Amino acid sequence: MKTNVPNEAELLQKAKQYDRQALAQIYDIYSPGLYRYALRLLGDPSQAEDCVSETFSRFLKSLRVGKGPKDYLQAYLYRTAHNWIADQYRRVPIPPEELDESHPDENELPEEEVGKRHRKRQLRLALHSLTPDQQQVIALKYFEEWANEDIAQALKKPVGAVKSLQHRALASLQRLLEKQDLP
Amino acid sequence: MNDEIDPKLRARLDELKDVPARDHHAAARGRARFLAEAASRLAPVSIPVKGRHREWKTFTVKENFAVMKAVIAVVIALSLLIGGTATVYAAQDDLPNEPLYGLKLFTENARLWANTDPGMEVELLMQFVQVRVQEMNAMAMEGETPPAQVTQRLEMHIQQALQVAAGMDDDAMQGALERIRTTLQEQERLMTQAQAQTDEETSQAMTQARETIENRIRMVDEGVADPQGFRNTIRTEQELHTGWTATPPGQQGNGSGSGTGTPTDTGNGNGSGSDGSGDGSGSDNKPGTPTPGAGNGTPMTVHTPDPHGSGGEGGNKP
Repeated sequence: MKTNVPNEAELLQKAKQYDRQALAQIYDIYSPGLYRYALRLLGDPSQAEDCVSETFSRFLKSLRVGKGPKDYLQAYLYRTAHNWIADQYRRVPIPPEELDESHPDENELPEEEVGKRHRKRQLRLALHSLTPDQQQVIALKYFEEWANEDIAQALKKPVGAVKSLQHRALASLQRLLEKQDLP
Repeated sequence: MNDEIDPKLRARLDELKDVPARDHHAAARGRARFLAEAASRLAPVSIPVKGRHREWKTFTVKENFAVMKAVIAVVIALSLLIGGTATVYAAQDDLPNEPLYGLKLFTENARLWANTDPGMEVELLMQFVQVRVQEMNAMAMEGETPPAQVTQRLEMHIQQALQVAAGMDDDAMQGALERIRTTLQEQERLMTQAQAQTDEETSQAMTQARETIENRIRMVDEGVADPQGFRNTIRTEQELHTGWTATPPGQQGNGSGSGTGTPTDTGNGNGSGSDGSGDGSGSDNKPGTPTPGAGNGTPMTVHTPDPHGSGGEGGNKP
């Protein structure tokens, strides 16, 4: 669900005036969600940290040159993070899942854990076969549970275009996953 | 078109929703990096509008020290430009045993002195730490022992950066300490690599510098964990070394000091030595960072040398 920050515009204004307090607040409000977002799509905690770090670094760079978002800060940050993730996937393919010594659920058999990780990897591969806009719609809609209007702001597209992207993305995803499930 | 989704597909997507909790240390490091970057990147590039003069006014040095500083910085920059940009540029690669090294230190001092932003000051000081380590490593590779002044100056940069960090608020201080730690760890690693290829005498000089760096890394670690304790330690160190408690901003410094270093040929003979000393009198706007004409009177271990030619790098001057 989109984080509701009543004073987002005020925070952004202060950030543009280099207010350290406001910048720290922006980081504290948005970095946990951005981290989860990146981790869901990347599956690797250290890459997810890199994504958060680069997203905020790009935000600072844009402030420095007098650019950056005029409003909808959260949408801007997620769009930036998603661009980084898309670039990352172009550079480095999804690594194979490895089962470390300490698997999280003690009650789960190792083979079940392996199966679960394999399914997640397959899903990520399928997601990354979609266009960047389609990926972002799916991620924001079904992982972050954003409303279509908020997604439209993040993508800078009309709500109708978002619905259309969502429809095509789901159809493609279904097809890709069915193909993966074939023996 | 509607939001309907096949329940099986929905269930598959839900599998990715559940993610493990974020590592607290990694999160804290990320936050500190961001704030450090903000401190260095977002230094305002122009005087705020409310501070600009809309009409000619007379002003005193005491009341408008920042303006004076900017004017003098421009004068220095112009004189360097007219006097030989190429010479200044060429000096940047000089080692302590080379003729233009004094000019290199002079430009470093001028850059520090013209700066008014604490975040940028830490950034500059860390750049100078890297330069000092490069000089030591380069000399060691040439089979020469780096002079003691280089090690002293390295210590001075680190100490000054820690003092500036201690004067920041908690968030900014964490960011600055993180920046200092990263730099020091990297420089310590580079020195260890270079030291392995040096003779015994050179190795001893480098060991001293490395020990200083290691000691300061420990101090930074403690500062990250306990900001107030760190401030107290820095204050105590200042008091021990100087017998002087930081003058609150806006209060005048007093007294006169004397230096032990050899005055430089770029200097005006005010005689601040490598052990550091203020001279003259005037307003002091940054504790531990004497500004030109604003001395604290008593000898200090750490200070920003006067770009108008304080001594202190004596043995290395042409």
